Amino acid sequence: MSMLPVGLMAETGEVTAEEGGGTGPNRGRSTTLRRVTTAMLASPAAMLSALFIVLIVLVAIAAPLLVKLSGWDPFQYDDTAINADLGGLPNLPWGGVSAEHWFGVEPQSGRDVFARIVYGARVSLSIAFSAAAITTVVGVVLGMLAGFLGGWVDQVISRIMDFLMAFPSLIFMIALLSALPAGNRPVLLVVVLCIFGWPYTARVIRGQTMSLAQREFVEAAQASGASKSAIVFKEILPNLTGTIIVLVTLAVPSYIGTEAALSFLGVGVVPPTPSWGQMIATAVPWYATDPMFFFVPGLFLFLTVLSFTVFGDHLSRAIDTGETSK
Amino acid sequence: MKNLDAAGSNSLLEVADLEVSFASSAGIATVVQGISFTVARNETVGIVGESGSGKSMTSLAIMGLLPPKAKTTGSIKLHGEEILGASERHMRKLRGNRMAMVFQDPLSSLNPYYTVGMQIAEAYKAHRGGSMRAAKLVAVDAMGRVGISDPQRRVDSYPHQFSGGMRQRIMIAMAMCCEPDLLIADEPTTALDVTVQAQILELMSQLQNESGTGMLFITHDLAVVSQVSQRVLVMNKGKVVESGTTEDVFSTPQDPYTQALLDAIPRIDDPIRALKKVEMGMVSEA
Repeated sequence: MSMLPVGLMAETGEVTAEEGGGTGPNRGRSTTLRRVTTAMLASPAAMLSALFIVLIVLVAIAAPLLVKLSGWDPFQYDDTAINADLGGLPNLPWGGVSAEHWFGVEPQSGRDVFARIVYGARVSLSIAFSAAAITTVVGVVLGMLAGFLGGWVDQVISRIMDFLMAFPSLIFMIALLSALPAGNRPVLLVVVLCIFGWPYTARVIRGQTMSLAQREFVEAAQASGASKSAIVFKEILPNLTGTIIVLVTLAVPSYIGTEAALSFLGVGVVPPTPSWGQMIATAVPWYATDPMFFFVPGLFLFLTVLSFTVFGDHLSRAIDTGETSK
Repeated sequence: MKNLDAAGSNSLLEVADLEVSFASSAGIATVVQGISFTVARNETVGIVGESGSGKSMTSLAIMGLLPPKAKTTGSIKLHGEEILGASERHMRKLRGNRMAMVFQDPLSSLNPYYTVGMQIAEAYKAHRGGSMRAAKLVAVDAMGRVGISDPQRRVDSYPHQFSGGMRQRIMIAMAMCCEPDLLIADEPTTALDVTVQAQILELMSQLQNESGTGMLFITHDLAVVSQVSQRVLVMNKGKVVESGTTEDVFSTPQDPYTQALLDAIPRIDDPIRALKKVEMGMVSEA
């Protein structure tokens, strides 16, 4: 014990120097969170994207309320806003934008575009969010199993992933969705998106799990008597949090895009339920005479996908900087 | 304390004819070739040898942590009870509880996601049960015992807030929190600088004196082994080439490999030389 105090003082000195800012003992996770938040707040692009995402989500949630406010529901025809003599084109220029119809009206039927955009956001987002949630759970579980257990479990899971990723998924989705009875289309869409989506999460998680499983703290946990499930869920899973968050934010826009594509091709959400992709599809014959009808859903789709992608990119960069400096 | 010895001998760990081999496409590679030794309570046995001599494989075999494709034969007895080939479930009860391990790299041995207090408490709770609060108190106590100042406050710190030496202290606290009978230290000081190394060695022998733990100390550093262990095994190419009390091995080495190793220790009054070549035949005969 005689030599300990001296050495200890040297070491504690080192530690206090390390602490630098002296923000107290409970740094760690809260600093990571704070560092990421600061980085995100400092970036105007990330903040604008976040703002738009929040706006769209709020709009989707408050759709019935907003529709009440604008006075038109998405299924209501307005014969007075269109001109039957002109093949159903809106009476007013710019696609019929007015105080009555904020984003104009649909040619031929006179349905309110604002109401359809708002309800379309509901459909698009709920499909994309559910698909992202399910693929994340499935992908994380299977990816961790493959990465941690290795051997034949990994072989089986990896081959299934290879197969699904090499598959021409869009063609298969179109074939499948047109063959299946219309039934509950949004649910069908989620199922189909999940079948082809989970390998993209699982592949990343598998790789990370493999490298984490090699780390000594896993061996140390084993040496202190931890069971396999405790190692997977308590030692490895928490270290994957950052990756999982980033994967989710990047999965959402890709599902929004795919859903729009499928609806555009006529195998997605069935009319009269509005969806953005389907609105764009309906607008195609009118692009020369009523470009506004094409422009509005296109803009919303574009901005939503862009916002999620930019936000996800910035988030991944902000989290990565911390990981490498650790 | 625990007198479970069937044979009445006071050896805590008995390893006999331990052999570890891996089958590969190129044939069978035997990495540990029939080694035998014992560790008694309150005794430190050092295993020295160069990289690839089978030191770590021996320690992993004792812990039952070898990869499943490794083939192990021989006998490993803890308190007279055969543990080689015991069920995974039984081994899990022993690991961390009756035998514990300290690893080489304290930087990567701690999970960056949890506070050090959490990690010590989890290791304790896994075997002793009880509430998280009680386990946390044990963690504070254990951190105090390994010489971390202000453990009350530091218990909620994360691994990256500690220096290498402090982290190794945490690892030792984690290994010792269930008061194991056997502690396997696999190069515990290799990643640390010399002054910190001395403190850690001091701490380990102090804790050993308090608890009577038997220790298997694996290292390639002859100076370290001469400081901590009472008996030494010298390993080369999977075999024990020499064993005996530390004093005997160091003062009158019998095996040419041991002599070469001792010769290779740098001396301040001697110019630097390369490791003397040992004839292959001489080593395998020993």
